[in-house]
Amino acid sequence: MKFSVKWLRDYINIDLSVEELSDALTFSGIEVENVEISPLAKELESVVIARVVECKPHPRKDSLYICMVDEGTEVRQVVCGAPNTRIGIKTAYIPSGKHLCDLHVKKAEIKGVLSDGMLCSEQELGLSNDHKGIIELPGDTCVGGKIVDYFELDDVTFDVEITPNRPDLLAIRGIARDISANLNIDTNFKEVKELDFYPDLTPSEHLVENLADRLCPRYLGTVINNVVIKESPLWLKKRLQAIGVKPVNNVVDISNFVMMEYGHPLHAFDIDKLSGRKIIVRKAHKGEKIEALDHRTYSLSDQELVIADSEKPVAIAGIIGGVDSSITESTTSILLETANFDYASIRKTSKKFKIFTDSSYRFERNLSSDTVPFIASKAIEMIIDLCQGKPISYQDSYPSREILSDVGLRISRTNQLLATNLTKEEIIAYLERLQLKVIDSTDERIKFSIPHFRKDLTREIDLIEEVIRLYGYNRVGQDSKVVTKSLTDKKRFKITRQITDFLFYNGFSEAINSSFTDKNSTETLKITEEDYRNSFIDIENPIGVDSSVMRTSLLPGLLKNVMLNISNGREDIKMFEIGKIYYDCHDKPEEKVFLTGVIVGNNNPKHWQINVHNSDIFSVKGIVQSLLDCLNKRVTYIATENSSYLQKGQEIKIISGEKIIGEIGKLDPLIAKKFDLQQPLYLFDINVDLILELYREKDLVYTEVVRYPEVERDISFIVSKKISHSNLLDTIKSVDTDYIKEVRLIDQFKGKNIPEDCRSLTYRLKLSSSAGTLTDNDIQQLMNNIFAKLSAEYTINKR
Amino acid sequence: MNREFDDLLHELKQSLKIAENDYDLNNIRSQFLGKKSRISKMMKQIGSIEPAKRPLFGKKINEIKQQIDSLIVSRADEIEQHQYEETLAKEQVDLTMPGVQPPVGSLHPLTLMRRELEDIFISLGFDVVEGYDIEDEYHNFDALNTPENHPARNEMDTFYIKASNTRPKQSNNRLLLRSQTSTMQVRTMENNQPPIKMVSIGRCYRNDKPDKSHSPFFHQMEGLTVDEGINFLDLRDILIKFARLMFGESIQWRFRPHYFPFTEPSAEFDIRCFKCYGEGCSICKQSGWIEIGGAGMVDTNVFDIVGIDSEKYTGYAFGLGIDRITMLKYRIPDIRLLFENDLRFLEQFR
Repeated sequence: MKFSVKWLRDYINIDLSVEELSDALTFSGIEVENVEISPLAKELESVVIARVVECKPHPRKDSLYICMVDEGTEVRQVVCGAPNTRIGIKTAYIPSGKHLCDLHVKKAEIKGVLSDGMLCSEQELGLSNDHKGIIELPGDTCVGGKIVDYFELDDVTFDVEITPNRPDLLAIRGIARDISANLNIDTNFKEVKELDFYPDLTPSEHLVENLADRLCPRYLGTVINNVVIKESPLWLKKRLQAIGVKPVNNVVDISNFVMMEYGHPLHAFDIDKLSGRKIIVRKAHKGEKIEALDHRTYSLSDQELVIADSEKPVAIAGIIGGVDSSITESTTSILLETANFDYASIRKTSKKFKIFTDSSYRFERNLSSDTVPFIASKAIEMIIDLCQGKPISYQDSYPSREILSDVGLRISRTNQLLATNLTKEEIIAYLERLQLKVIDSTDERIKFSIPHFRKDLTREIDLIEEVIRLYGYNRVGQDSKVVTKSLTDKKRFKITRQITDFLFYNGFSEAINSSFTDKNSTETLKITEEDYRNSFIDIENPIGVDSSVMRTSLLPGLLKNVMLNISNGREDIKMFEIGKIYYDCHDKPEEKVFLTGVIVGNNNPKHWQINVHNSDIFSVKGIVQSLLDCLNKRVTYIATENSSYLQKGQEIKIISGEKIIGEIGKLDPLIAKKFDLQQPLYLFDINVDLILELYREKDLVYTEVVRYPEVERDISFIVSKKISHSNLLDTIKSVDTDYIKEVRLIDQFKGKNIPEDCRSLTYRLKLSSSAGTLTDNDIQQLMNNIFAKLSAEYTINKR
Repeated sequence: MNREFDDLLHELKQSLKIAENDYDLNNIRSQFLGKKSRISKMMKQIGSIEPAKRPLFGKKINEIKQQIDSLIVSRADEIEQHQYEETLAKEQVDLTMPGVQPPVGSLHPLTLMRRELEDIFISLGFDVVEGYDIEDEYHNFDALNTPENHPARNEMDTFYIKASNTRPKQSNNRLLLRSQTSTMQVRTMENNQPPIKMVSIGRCYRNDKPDKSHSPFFHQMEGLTVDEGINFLDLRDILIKFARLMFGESIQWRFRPHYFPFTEPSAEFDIRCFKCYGEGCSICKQSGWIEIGGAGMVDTNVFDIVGIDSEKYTGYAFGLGIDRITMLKYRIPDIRLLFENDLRFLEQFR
């Protein structure tokens, strides 16, 4: 539904910015879809008012004039062919270089004389059909001013979405009414005259025959004679153009205008073309045909409601008129139809024939029969005014009055549901703004009568909704101090589950051990005195010596579990625990969540198809890598040698930024011996609280998929064992960050033909470019560069 | 002429018979239909044939070409079918052999139960709050309306933290290992104003001698709701919703009056024994009922201590023994099994 601000202001005196009006609409429940400058104003943006200061005939063509035109800032020469061109005339001028609708005005020579710009007729400006000459503006018009301002074309058009329950808002008056209620500003509707105001307009008995009053609850037909069909005045056309309705002629424009104003469609027939000069409202006869205004012929069944004359259908009721009876330039008498139709029937027919008109759109939303006399009067008034029409007779078929039930509302219920503290008076004031009237009230209950255009208000809850709409959805609870916030640490919750699930699905069994331990637990691991793991928290009244302190590490417990299971005959063990450790930190007890895991034996069980793989440091590193990748934790792994219980050369620290978040390693064989553990044991130990602290929610953003093929290339070289893989990887990746998509170490070889202190490594590169397919040349160049860079930084031998 | 065609077709059939694959077929095709084939040569002779006979000759040639083509195509189909059948035969395997399974470990039964509880209470609109194991007397007792010398303090043998040299004994507020997750009621109300709706799961400690049903450390879930207008029915409602979600729609249950220092009225709630359905058995100690937890309306004294307007707000609290519910649910007879971490036990929970 479109409306323009100027039109709206015909009914309500508001002076709001576009944003303020948008807000008022939004919080009234009217969604603003688009706001734009009226099309006409946009087109005439560059046109200014100018005065012709000199005018002489063109030497080479009689009908042309050479004018000097003062457009306010400069005087320009324009060649013009309009017969009314003369010195002193004030008219519209468009400078060259500008556009007028589709016309690009250019500086040009016309019969050898330069013409800089153009003087325009009303038709060229789209203001009327007048093309007899250039537009003539009154003498006191200000030169240099904009035509848009002069004709007040600078309107703003709102396109709003109206919810299906509110057909009353498919009317500019309706929108004004709602804004008026919302902002508590009065409307200034001009009341229309009653039909009996017109002395010559007399009731008739032979004009309308309603044979289907269930489908057509009201039909008011009015005959107006002496109608002069012509172009509408500018003000009317402006209103329609601003909302994208094309002006046709005065009668059609008036019916469109009244429909947009009241939201209730109306239709005009040329009565001279109605056989029997009367209207019969009836169901169509099977096989009847009608050519509609869309120039398509519809074959009717006995299901559709039609408006007919004494012989044939002249309109599909409420949906579209017929061509034969339509208003033409020669029309002099019209029959004005203002009626109401059953919404379900309109909807069915409109769907059946796939005709969707402004009229069907409104009727199928259940309009009010009581709007009918208002639109009739308004249209009659305008037809008298703009078409010199003389209303002579009418007939109003309205067999059963539409009555809306009164609706009651309980004050306590309202406040309870809305969490408000409104008084009876406040509630009444809100609803009266919507033209509801108090019929009856007690301290607790108010009964309202509903205005005819609000058929949607039928229950208490409907009224409560209106109250909250006017009170303001966002005001509710604003004065309350309570801010409901979630107490859940969602990050911890999610990550804890992610970690346990990950390890579960990767073959680890979860253990839960006692929080108590004995002090020897760290001694066996040779943990130094200064280490936090020796800052035990002692229990004053322990249950036994072996549970006299709180655990400072999950490892001793897991080692005990491993021993138990080995003694039970297990060979391959993967276990983990996620739980709290406790230590004394500057005399304050600290509780931290740790994750510790151990692997003993084979990494995978024996299977008829798959070889058994012994666990090693890389099995456990791989688990940690995948786990931290899942948690979006960017970490580095560095080889260290400072843990007392991990084997030298088999120890990795996990670093994030400055912090050590955990370690990976192999239990030192000497320590393992103390536990009677023969098999190698690999472990990881991670500070979950630190991970949480450093955790950032995954910021997943799609990056465009490279559509060009990916190429794989291997690079093999012999290099000193002292050079680490991670250094080599960084070097390779640094050569080109665009093309190199992935680098994988796919092979390591030591021994035959390789010097004792060296190893041979093979990397597989995935290359592609988002700019196009890589050529052999590109690839060769890149591989050369990689080799050159590696050679420059290390001593390598290509294989 | 016809003789020649017959020869040609005969020859083709012989060749096709020994053809085995696409390669052979392609050779045959070019031999019989290619540019250098006999049929092509015959086609070129058309100029030497008397004009009247030419159409007939052309027609005949085309017929033969089609015949050759269809013979080759049908042999191709035969070969394809044969190859397909060979593949099927080759790939006949013993489908009862085990697949390549990614390794799967196990989740601890307490973790499974914890998750089930969290999910149930989250679905009922509760927040999940974390707490501390090491607490002080104030949060474990005083704030829970259990002042010093209160008889309830002796009932629970609480573990106290030994004072260190630098951390002198604070006789008025000693550190301890919490004996109940109800400490989280206090901590939550200290830091938040109502509405509050939370559960907190964690470890508690009591100086009990370990046996079949006691462990010096165990797990509880605490629940707390505080708002305007919270009443006894809300408490019953939430607990029955929980019981139904946990034990099934048909579960029978009951409230029994009880005493807790920090709730009043207080209750314990039982569910109908799911093994004997009330007949009496070892699980329910012949009573027909199994105790699930304690509950009650938050005592106004607790509100006053934490600074919540006890006239404006009311609330309920409840506590569940997670180890106990886990043991009931999985029919685990001895609590010590939960903490032994024997893989033969753990791997039953996947």
